[in-house]
Amino acid sequence: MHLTGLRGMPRRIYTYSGDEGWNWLNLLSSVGGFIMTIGFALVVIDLLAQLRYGRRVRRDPWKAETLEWAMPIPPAPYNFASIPHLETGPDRIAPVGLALSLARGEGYLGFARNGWQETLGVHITSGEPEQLIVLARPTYLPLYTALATAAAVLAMLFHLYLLALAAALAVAGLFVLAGQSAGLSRDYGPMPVGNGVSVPPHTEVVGSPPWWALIFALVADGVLFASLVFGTLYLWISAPNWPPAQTFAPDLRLALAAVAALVVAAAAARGSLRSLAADGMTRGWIGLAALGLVVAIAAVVAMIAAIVPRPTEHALGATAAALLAFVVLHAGVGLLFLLSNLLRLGAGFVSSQRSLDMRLTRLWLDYTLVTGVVALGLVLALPALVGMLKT
Amino acid sequence: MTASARPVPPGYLLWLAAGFVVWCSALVVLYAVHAIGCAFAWSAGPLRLVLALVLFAHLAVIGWIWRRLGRSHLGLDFGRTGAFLNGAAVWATIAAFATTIFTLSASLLLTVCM
Repeated sequence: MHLTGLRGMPRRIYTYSGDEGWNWLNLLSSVGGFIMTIGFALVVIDLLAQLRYGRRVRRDPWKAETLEWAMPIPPAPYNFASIPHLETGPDRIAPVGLALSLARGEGYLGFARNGWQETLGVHITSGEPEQLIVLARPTYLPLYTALATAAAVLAMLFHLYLLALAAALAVAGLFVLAGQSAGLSRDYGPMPVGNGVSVPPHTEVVGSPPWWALIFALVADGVLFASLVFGTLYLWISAPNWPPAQTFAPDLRLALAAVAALVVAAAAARGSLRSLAADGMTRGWIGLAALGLVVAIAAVVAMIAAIVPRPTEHALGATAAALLAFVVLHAGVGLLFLLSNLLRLGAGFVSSQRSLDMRLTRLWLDYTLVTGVVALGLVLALPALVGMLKT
Repeated sequence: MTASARPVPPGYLLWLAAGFVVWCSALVVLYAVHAIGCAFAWSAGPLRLVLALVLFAHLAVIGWIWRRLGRSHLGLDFGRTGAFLNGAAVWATIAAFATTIFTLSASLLLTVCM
């Protein structure tokens, strides 16, 4: 279908004259369509056959030796009572014996404590227990966040931009609210997890799940940012109607002020992390970081306001505005991080042992600084790049 | 892993992806140089030369990773897990090397600009 498209076949037509050279490619597509249908039909037939002829069995009817067969059928509401410790590979075990031992609570975490929902975090290459992950309590917050997100997106589709903005702010507020009950409000130190092993809770280790979550989120965000830079350069050399009739001259002082303010914010995030250990001026550092972000946002918004051609008139203005808006968005989210830091500091969720909040903020502000320098540098370079097109 | 061996440092896992990250870089840089060269009407000879240099530079980097991983003795230091990860990283790098040649050497053969 890709090739027929390259050969000029439009989409959504039901017939054509037949001399365009698409015939054998479309025949191939039809054969593929039949094969896919057979695949789907096999699944449906299998489902129906299971419903009609399937027999109920107990655990491990095939006498298999892999770990998943230690699972009771049907599963208990709590899935399994404890977590196994495996010395050998997971494909050489006796599932039935292991299952009974796990059901007796002889694995890790075969007991309840403080009403917590716990699981084990293990070392990434060895699998040794490393941290006790205390999971969030069941809550409707994800549902409310999803509804607010859907409202924001739908409102944009229907051109209700103020409603979209309100819903987006509601999403941001819900994220900060979710942070008000996450984590543990005191230091616990290593706690027993079974088999004679004690590990600290995830709030007191470096590589906890929220830390990795932010790293992966930033990798995804970095891909989006790279796409934005790529799109800008792509339009520069490939779009029609370039260069535009008039080009803006970005204000170098505003750009430098924005970068300096982002540097201050990133440095203040380090200060807040250090002051946690010294029990010092954490709130002051958070305030300084927030001030830096506000200054950066103001400078970049002023740059957006001065863009010519207007973003609605020419892709040059639109790409420059998008690059700058990326910086504003990330600085704005940085403010949410700082607000959450302040609230959680007040509620006792942060200590020198539990420094995750400050480390997340530092990581986010470092990322905001690096992408901000790239985005502002590209916007500063855009007039010169456009000038090259005129020669 | 055996109980006596030390755990493999988590950072080592990045070597699994290293070869293909370089492949990504080769793809993006070749695409960019090609597009810019054609947009500004560089003559075919120099453009082809720059494309070849970019491709060979990336192949050299992947080759260096391959050699480095091939000579490492992770298995001795870190037991079975180390040996397995080392093998997986070497083969992922070889795949990246072959992929780079297979997918990107066309830039040396095809017409430079339309």
